[in-house]
Amino acid sequence: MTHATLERGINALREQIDAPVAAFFNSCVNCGICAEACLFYTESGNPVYTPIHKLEPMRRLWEQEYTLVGRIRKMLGLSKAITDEELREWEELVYDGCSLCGRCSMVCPVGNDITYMLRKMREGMAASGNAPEGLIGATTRAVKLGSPMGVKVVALQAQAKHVKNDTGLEIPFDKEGADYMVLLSSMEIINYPEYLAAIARILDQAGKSWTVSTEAFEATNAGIQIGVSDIARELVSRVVAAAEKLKVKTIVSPECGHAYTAIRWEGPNLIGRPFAFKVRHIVEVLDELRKEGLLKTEGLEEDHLTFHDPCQLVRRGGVVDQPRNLLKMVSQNFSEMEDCGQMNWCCGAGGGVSANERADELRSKAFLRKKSQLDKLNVDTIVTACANCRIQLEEGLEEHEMEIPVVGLTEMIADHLVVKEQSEGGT
Amino acid sequence: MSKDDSLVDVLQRSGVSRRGFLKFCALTASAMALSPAMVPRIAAALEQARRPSVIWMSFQECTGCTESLTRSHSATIENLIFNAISLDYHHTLQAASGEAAEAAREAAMEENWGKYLLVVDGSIPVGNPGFSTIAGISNKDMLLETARGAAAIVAVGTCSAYGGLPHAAPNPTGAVSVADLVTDKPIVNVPGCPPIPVVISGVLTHYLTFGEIPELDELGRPMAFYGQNIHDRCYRRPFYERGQFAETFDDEGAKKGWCLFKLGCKGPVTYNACATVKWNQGTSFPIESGHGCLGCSEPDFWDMGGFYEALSTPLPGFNEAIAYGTAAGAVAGLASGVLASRVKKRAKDQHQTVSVDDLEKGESS
Amino acid sequence: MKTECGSSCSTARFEVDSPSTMTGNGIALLYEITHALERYAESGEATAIDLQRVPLSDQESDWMAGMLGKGEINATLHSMGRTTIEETGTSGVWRIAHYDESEVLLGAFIEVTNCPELLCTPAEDIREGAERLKRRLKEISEEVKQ
Repeated sequence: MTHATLERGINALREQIDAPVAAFFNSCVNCGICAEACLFYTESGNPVYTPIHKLEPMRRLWEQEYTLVGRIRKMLGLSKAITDEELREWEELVYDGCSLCGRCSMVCPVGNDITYMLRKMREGMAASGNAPEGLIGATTRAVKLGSPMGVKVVALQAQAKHVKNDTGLEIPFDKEGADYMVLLSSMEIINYPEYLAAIARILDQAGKSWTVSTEAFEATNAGIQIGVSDIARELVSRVVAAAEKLKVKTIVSPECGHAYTAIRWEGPNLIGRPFAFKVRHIVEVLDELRKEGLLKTEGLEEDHLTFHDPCQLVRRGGVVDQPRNLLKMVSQNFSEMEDCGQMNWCCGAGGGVSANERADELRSKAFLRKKSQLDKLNVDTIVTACANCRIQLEEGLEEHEMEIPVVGLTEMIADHLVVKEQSEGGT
Repeated sequence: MSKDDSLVDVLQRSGVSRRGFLKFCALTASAMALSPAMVPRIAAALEQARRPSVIWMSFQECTGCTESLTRSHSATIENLIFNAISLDYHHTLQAASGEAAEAAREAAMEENWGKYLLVVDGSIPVGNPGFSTIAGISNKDMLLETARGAAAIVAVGTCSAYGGLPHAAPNPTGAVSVADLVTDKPIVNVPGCPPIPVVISGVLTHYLTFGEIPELDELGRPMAFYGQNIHDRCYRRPFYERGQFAETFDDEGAKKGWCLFKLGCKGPVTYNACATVKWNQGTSFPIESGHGCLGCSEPDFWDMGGFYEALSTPLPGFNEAIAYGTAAGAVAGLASGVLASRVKKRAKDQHQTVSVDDLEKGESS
Repeated sequence: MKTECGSSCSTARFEVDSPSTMTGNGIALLYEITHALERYAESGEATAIDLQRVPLSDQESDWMAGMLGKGEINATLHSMGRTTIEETGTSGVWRIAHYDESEVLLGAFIEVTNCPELLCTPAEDIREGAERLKRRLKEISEEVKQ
């Protein structure tokens, strides 16, 4: 068994420095505008959370090894080498103080994708053994047990039985040639089993065939969060193998942010070839069904609603209009949050922060940003499309004794489905 | 005003007496940088002068040249001259637009074929004609077509005279000057970014007065205005002679108004009338405001090294050292690029697959 | 030859005492004027110098004015704005400054002559004056007859 070492970490960073990274470091004008875009900075007031500063060790390595001036400075002893202590110090900034939300990349005046670099920075951190214990645990469980929360297939099958009792609908496991292969996040299986029931009812009404693979049902990808492409690749490969084995047309990513980024955007790059199937977020699928006239709802929510945009959907994925199209079908009193859409503030728990117990305090501080947005709205219910956001919102609201329920968009749509009149009209 | 009115008619109608006309002639001579001894000749010529038709075309430009000419604070000699010409087409200033504007241009060309004066500001893109078009006509086509019937062409501003900013490396639009495209007409270059207003009007007046273009230097500029360099006419020149230089923009020397040569002033290689004619109704010129000359009336002034780098330093052989240094730097830069790709290749080769068992910390090997 | 400008651009004007403010052009100009005077005395050939062609510092302009001195004649022409025509204390040397309607200095000249042309009445104006006066007298005599 090998171990994480500084050498492996530095080598990983070297590998990660590609043309965009070099161009970004070269273009940075140290303006600090990214700080104001980062909720870990705005809520803590601590400048160490300035996004570009979180990349300092990587920037120095780039300067020392990829630029002439840096080489000379290093030779003259003007630029010090990266040490293990330094990386350990940075661990808190790179993991606890960053949810990979992508807001900094949106505001950079020279167009640097800082989030892209932070994702890469984590490769070096993990390879050098400077990743948080909580994330290491989650990653180990994901690889060894198939789920970061240790959810095994029997637990899923138990939930499927509940769904059948409640709705009368069978969860189709391992069905070949289905239109959709539905992935789930462990959080949905344990915390929000309503999601599975909602999917079953919606797809049944739309008349689409679908399946869940018992070999690869987990959508989340701890490898992406901790920043180890080798592990991320292994986890993605499991899903790809299952999808190809079952010959499905589309993989449906669940109400989870990073899972969507992992499978849709990083996935093909990780395995080094294009997918033979499509990948869609559940919200995209629902909107497609709506367009085809296959999604029929009735009744409108009485409550005053708002929608929390998950970062990975709006900023990294461009899914902005779809949830709003769907909400229009079922709401009559809807208010947008300040900064909604592409510039919406992160809940504070993404990018592996929620799996890292050490970050709990900082995470609840980061929630204050969301709280101040919500304070201005005075809504009865918050709708979102990411189970991780949902947990963070619920926990945060509870902490501040705000009694606002948080609902998944898919469940809300399912609640308004037009009831089938098959038993009366048929036979 | 009819086209057949002479300039004197125009002036007399606006209540100008014979002494006033003489004053006008003296100032015109001054504006044309001609000797006051020429005043009687100017007076005689102006009595005969007819209002010429002027077509003004703007290509890849910033309108700074037109601004320079039209933003005078009070009624000055330039305004009088503008009253005396028939500006038939100037798409920034004219009220007409679209087809009506083009129709005006075509009418003016037809009516005054072979006699009109063509004024151009802005460079012409030849890299891709689509980079700049007017009414669907590419700048190049419009210039060549309008130039055919012109008596002479005045290229106003460094862009039309030498390519200017659009022509600066890497010249993405393939910008060229008027003289690069038109070779069979007399062309007067009036460079500057922008040119001094009275220099523009002085050239127009010269043509108006004598019906011919003024004497030009080897870069096509009127000798009267561009015959001497800024440095020779600069009031700070005596400090240069005494070796009194400002070293920074806020040192004692700068406060005492010493020479700005070491702060990158391009006065010694720049031929223009700024130091004598000055700007803003004779208020001052850049060096008088404490900043070195940028050399804006010279070809390729954007690419002449940094605005704040001295033309040379007193150390003999220093320039050669820089040249060698630059060459060495280029080689080193190239080597650096090769090294960088090697670093990455080696890192890839040394990659050890990370599994979940490798995430815990171990001793460095 | 100085026009007023805002405080923003006046800060860089150099404020060192003579002689470092001298460009040296003032002296040269005075020699040129001397030669012009001699030439006029000999052959009657007048000379005009455009002061805008010669860079002078403000202090130097004042110094030159002092050297030439103040003379007896000071006239103002009102046409297209003001023009001042004054003989300096050095006889035969005239200073002429043209302003526009808004009192902005448009140009300044030194003329070496016994009388600047601007002071002399144009011949056409004399003829027109005579015509006009004759006409006026005729009108009056007709009024008297009635």
